[in-house]
Amino acid sequence: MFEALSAGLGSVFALLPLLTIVIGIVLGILIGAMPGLSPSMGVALMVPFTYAMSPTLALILLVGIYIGSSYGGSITGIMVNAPGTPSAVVTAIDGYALTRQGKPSLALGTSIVASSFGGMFGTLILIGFSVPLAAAAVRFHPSEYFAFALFGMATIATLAGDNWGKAFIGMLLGLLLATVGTDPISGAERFTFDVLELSDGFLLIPALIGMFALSEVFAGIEKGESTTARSDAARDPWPRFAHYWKLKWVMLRASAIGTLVGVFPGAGATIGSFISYGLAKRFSRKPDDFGKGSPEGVTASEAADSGSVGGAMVPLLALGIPGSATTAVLIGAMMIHDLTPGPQLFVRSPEMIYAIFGAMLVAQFVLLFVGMAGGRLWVKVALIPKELLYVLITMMAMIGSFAVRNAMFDVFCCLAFGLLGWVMRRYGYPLAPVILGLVLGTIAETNFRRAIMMDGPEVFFTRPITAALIILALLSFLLPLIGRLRLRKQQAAFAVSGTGAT
Amino acid sequence: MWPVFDAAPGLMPRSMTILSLLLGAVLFWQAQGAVASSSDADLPRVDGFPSQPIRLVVYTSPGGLIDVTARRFAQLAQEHSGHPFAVINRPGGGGIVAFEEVLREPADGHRFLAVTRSNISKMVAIGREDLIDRIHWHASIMDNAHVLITNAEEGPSDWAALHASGRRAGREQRWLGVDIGGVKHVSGVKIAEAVDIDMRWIPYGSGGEAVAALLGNLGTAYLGNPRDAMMSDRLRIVAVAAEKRLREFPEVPTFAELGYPGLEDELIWRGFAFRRGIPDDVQAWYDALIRKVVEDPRWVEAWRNEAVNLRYRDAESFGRIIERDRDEFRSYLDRLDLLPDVEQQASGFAALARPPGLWLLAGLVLALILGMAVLLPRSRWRDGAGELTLLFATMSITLLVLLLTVRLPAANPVDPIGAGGVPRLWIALLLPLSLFQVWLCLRQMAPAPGGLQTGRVLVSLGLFASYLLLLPVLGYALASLLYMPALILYLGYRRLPVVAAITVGWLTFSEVVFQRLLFVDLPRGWWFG
Repeated sequence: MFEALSAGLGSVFALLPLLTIVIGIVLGILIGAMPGLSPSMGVALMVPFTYAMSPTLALILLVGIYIGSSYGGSITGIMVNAPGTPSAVVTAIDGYALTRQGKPSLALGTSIVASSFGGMFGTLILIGFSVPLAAAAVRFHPSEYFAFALFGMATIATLAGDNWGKAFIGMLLGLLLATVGTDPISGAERFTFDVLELSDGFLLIPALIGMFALSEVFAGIEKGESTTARSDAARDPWPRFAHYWKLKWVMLRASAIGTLVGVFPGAGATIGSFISYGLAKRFSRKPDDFGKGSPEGVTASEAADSGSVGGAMVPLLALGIPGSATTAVLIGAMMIHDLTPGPQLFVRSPEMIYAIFGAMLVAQFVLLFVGMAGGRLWVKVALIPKELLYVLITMMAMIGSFAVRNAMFDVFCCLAFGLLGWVMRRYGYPLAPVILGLVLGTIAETNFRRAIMMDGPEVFFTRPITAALIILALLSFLLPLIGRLRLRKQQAAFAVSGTGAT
Repeated sequence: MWPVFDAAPGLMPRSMTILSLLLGAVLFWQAQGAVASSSDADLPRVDGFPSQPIRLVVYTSPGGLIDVTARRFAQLAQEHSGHPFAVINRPGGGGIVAFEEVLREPADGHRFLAVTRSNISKMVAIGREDLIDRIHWHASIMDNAHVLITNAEEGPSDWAALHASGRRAGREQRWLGVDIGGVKHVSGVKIAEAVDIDMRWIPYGSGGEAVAALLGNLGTAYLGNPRDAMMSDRLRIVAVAAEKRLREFPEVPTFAELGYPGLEDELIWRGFAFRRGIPDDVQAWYDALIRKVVEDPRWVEAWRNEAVNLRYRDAESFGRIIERDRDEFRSYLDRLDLLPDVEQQASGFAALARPPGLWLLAGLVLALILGMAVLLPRSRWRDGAGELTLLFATMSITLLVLLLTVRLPAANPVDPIGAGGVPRLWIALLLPLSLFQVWLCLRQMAPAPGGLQTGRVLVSLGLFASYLLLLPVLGYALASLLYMPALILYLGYRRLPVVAAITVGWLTFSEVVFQRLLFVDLPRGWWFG
């Protein structure tokens, strides 16, 4: 394998493949950074440009776009709280908090290094363990997917901060919103009020843009934030190596979580980011910093997000089945280039597989370089006067929502989510739980019902992995709550004894 | 946009130049492709057509077989016609969103649909057969048979083993697939009935997920395309629903050979359709173009090992197939109780969950929420008025949704939870938690933080909402030209050259990137075109 890999790497070190990787990464970053364009849309948009290219070069370009766009979503999340992709929602929590503190370079630097590291980790796992991992992933019963989703929901305990009840209400609202549309099991229309555009439910991209970007604009206008408050941010120094070194374990754990979650078809990068963030807070020495600008939070989310790219490629290359929306497009692109994805590709065109592996490894270094160079440009966003920035964000929100399927309905949905986000923000309701519910709702429901259809309700107790994950999820929900109640009792007792003493 | 950066010299670093160069390189590639293409003089000439890039609308997300078909077709069609073709994906409603988009556009032939048999089943299933009638089904270009696939290592080794396991008394056999009420589900039901197997259909979100589950031995068989079985040597086709054996799988028997005739047409076709009413000469142009593409050796070669039957059918023959499929789906979906129950008159409590009762109730809820928003700030609960209104709105809408669950299909032996089960569970958690939060809010009411300029937000919101309402009327360019300076000036920014530069810069950027490169058709406006 090592000979084949070095041959693959060797074939990448030529002018054309290297240029293709650079173009892929740059375009990917731009696509990811643009709210409204998801990685899968970005890859699909570039497929026609590959018709005249060799299959290997075409795949290198598309994989480069996939890698670049998975990172790009974090840039707008960090700079203007408008995550370009759903998985960047988690990055925005601490990334934007750092920007508000005048430290956008710290957030951007942490994000790009974590992203490259996660991507590298995911690629190495893909190269070394794709076959056994894919074999294990397909054995996952719907009950395990449900338990996985439940475990993801347990992140709510870490997202909540002091507002456990409010965060829980937000998540339930998201879960309820996720039930709107065509029921995936019975095919019945649910809560659509006979509106055609709602037949696929609320689209994630307009919801995301509205909830975060628009509500941020409304909140900013309401607070009357000034332009000068952020001009120092553009001169924020870039972090040094020691900063990244301190985050090595967080990066490693997050990369492993992201890669593993990415392997499961249909699970997606967003769950990986949320789970990784939750665990990072649990294991952190400074858990109170999470949500207020913790570099560990940014690292946990970004490394998991990029790690999931390598993970999602596992079922694609080992089994020929898509692990994510973007790998589904890659399968289509492979077919257009007369390639049959799956294990037979290892037999028929091993040189191509190893060239792709090589390109994915090189792409992580290119991402690091381009991301660092670009970061120094993104940080200048802080210099744009707020009045102009707000208007540009509303325009981006409009066009990004409209671009999803050329429908004004989605733009109005974006506005409605913006209003909801603004009101929730005003009264201390965190926004990320709503998106968490919206993302996990369908996965949780369909797998819950599918599991019962297949093996009855007892399946949740008879399958060890399912039962273990459900118990872990419940503990994750309950332990912080019990801890908080205890603390409150102790504080009350302390207050009483203090009063008695005086 | 550059005047914004005037304040900070040197803000156009080398990285920006590199980015521009790279983008330029990609555009150059595209231009090369366009120049390299050559038109075919054999196509009939049509005055004024095509006058803009032709959009081929695909009703799924990128990546599926119909998407690949459309992209392969567009690539060759562009070469044969010498005219740009763009594939655009409009997923949603099982194809309804894409159909509605094509029907909204003029019947000039610049936009057409890539269609499959799934569209017919979906339209019948949701009661939108009007769409079938409003579309001109122009040509079918290929089809592929449905096949039963098993896990080669752990599942039944051949048809006999699959059948024997299915016929064992008291055992329901699990078949994995997609879409309840979809083409494959209906085929599955037909096949299971014909071979007398007690089958339970387990729907997955996509073919890929279902194949993964089959590889994990979570079901006995998967009903899908022959291509699915080519992905992995751990998959085996055990029976083909076609007239003849497949060239790519010559060892696999057809159902007729196994003694079950009548399953020769269990297939999925793919073709093209237009909005009704496009001129005859444009139709003739497409006729010639489609024939040229499907007869192109590269087209034939591209599909050579894909177990696809490249069979061209003209509009007349295609139309007959559409009618046959429509009747068949009506009949099967009715038997499976999957057709919308338009006749049933709701009564009592359930009447409120249907229009007009539903609209009355929704209006009442909205009025109550607005009433709370107006009255609470004037009451003794004014300090918590905002949050109380938010919670009241949440609870009211939740109760409305709870009422709507009575319309949903009830739990049944196949789906013991039912379509309403999970929403009711979330509601059961949300309502008490919201009530608890109300209690907390009433107990610890804190005055709103000072210095907030809520009026400014409301005006900005009003401007944005007006802009959105005006977009379809004035069009994107004019509406944006009014909105952007209006909001910037309202927010207090007064450097007019910068305002003008930002507005023009944005409009140019959105025109080039979204309209030209990404084929996002921004609203044109009723009056200004």
